[in-house]
Amino acid sequence: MFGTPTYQAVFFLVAVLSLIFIFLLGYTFWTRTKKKYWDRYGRKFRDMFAPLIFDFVDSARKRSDADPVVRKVTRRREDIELFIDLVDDMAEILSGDDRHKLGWLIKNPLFDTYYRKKLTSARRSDQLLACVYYTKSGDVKLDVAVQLFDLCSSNDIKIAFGAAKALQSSTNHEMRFYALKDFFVRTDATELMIGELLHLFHHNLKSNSQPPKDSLKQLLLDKDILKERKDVVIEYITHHNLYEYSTFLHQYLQRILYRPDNKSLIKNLITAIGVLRVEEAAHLVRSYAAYPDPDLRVCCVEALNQLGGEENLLFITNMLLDIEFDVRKRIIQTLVQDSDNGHLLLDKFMLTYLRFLSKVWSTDLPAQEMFEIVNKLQSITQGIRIASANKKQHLQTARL
Amino acid sequence: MSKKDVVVIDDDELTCMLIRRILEREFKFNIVSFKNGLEGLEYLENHNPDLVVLDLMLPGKNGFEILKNLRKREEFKNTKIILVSAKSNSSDIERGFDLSADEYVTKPFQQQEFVVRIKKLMRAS
Repeated sequence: MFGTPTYQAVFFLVAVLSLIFIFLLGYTFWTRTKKKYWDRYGRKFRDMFAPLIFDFVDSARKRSDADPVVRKVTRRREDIELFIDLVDDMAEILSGDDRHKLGWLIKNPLFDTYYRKKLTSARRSDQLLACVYYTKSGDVKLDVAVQLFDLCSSNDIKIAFGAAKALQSSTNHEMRFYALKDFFVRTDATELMIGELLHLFHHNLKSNSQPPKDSLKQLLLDKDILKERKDVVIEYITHHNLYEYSTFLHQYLQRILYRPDNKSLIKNLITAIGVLRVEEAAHLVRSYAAYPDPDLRVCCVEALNQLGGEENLLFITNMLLDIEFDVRKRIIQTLVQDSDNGHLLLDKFMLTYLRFLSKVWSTDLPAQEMFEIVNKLQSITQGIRIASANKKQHLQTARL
Repeated sequence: MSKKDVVVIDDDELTCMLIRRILEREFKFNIVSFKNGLEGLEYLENHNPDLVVLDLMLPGKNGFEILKNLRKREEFKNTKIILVSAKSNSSDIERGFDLSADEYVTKPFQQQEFVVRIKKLMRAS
C-alpha cells in the first residue's frame, strides 16, 4: 500500500506543504522580530538624540555649531536615516529661528556627501532615499540638480516624482518650473502627484519674490501639456482662491472651443469663474447654459448663482423648465437657499405659469405639450417642498 | 511659593518632550504627561492642576471632548487650558475658544512665543 504511486504523491505533497508552512512561519517570526528590534532601536535613538538636538536649537549661534551633534551620528545607513527623520519631525513642531537652525543640521556636508553617492547609485531604493533627503534639505546645488533632472526622466514614475519633488525645494525658480513642466508632460503621472507637485511649486513661490502668475499661465497655455493636467491647475487656482487669475481665466474660456475633449476644461473654468466671482464672464457662462450637455448646464447654474445679481438669478429661474431633472433640481436647491431674491423669483415663476395654464385650460382643450409642462411644474413644486424641508432641517441641526 | 502643577496631554512624543523641556526650563513647573486622552482624563478626575496643555488629535478621547468635560466641572474653573495643535483652521480655533480654552497655539511654533503665551496666562491667573 505504501509503495503505490497515489500514496507517494500524497506523501510528497504533504511534505512540500509542510516545508512551505514551516518556511512561512519562520519568515513571519523573523520579520516580526526584526521590526521589533528596529522599533526599539528607533526609540532609543530618538531618546538619545532628541535632547541633544533641542539643546543645539537653544544654544546654536552659527552653522558650524551643528558639527559636534552630527559627529555623534555613526556612518551607518540606519542611523543617518533615523537622524534625518528625527530632525524632519522636529521641523514640524518648531518654526522661525528654531527651524532655521534645524536646517543647519540637515544641510551638514556629511549628509550631503552621503546622499550624493546614493543619488548616483544604481539601486532604486538609494535613489529614492536621496530624493527624499534633498526634498527635506532644499540644498540643491547645480551638480545635484543635474542628477535630479536625470532622474526626472526615469521610466520609474516614483523616482521621477521623487526627483521632481526634490527640485521643488530648490531656491532657483527656473529650475523648479522646468522640473514641474517636465513632470506635467508625462502621461503616467497620477492626478495626486500632479496636485502635490503643483502645490509645492506654488507654495515655494510665495516665499520668494517671483511673480507666481505667469508660471501657472504658461502651464495652461502650453500645447504639450495634457488637458487633464490643465484641469488640475484650474482646480488648484479655484480651491486656493487665486483671484489674480480672474481676468486670465475669463480670456482663457473665451478662446476655448466647445468640443467633447474640452468639456472637462470648460466645466472647471466655469466653476472657477463662479468661485472667483469673475462677474465680467457672466455673459459667457450664460451662453454655455444653452449647450446640450446637462452637466455643463448644472455647472453654469452653480456659477451664475455664485456670481449673483438679479440678471443671473432671473436667468437661472427661466431655466426651471429645463428638460433635465438634475438641472431643475440644482436650480431649485440654489433658489431655495436664497431666502430673499430666490424665494421671490420662484414665487413669480410659479404664479406666471399657473396663470398661463389656467388661461389655456379655460379656452381650449390642452395640447400634449401642456401636460408635459404640468408634469414639470408638479415636479418643481415637489422639488421646492423637498429643498425647503432640507434647508429647515439643516438649520435646526446647525442650531443644535 | 509652591510649584505649579501642569498636565500635558499629547500623543506625539517629540511635542511632549519639547513642551516638558520648555516648561521645566522656564517655569520650574511640576509636570505630568500623558499620550492618551482617556488616561489624561482619568488622571484629571483626581487632580486639579494649574495648567493643562492639550493636543486636539488624541487617541481615546479628542482634545475638544476633554476640554468640554473639564469646563463643565466647577473645580476646573480656575485651571488654565492651552490647546496645542497642528490644526490651524479658523473653525478649529473658533471652536477651541468657544469651548473656553484660554489659549490656542498652532504647530509649528517658536519656543519663545510659547513661553510668552504661558507667561501671559499665568500672570492672569
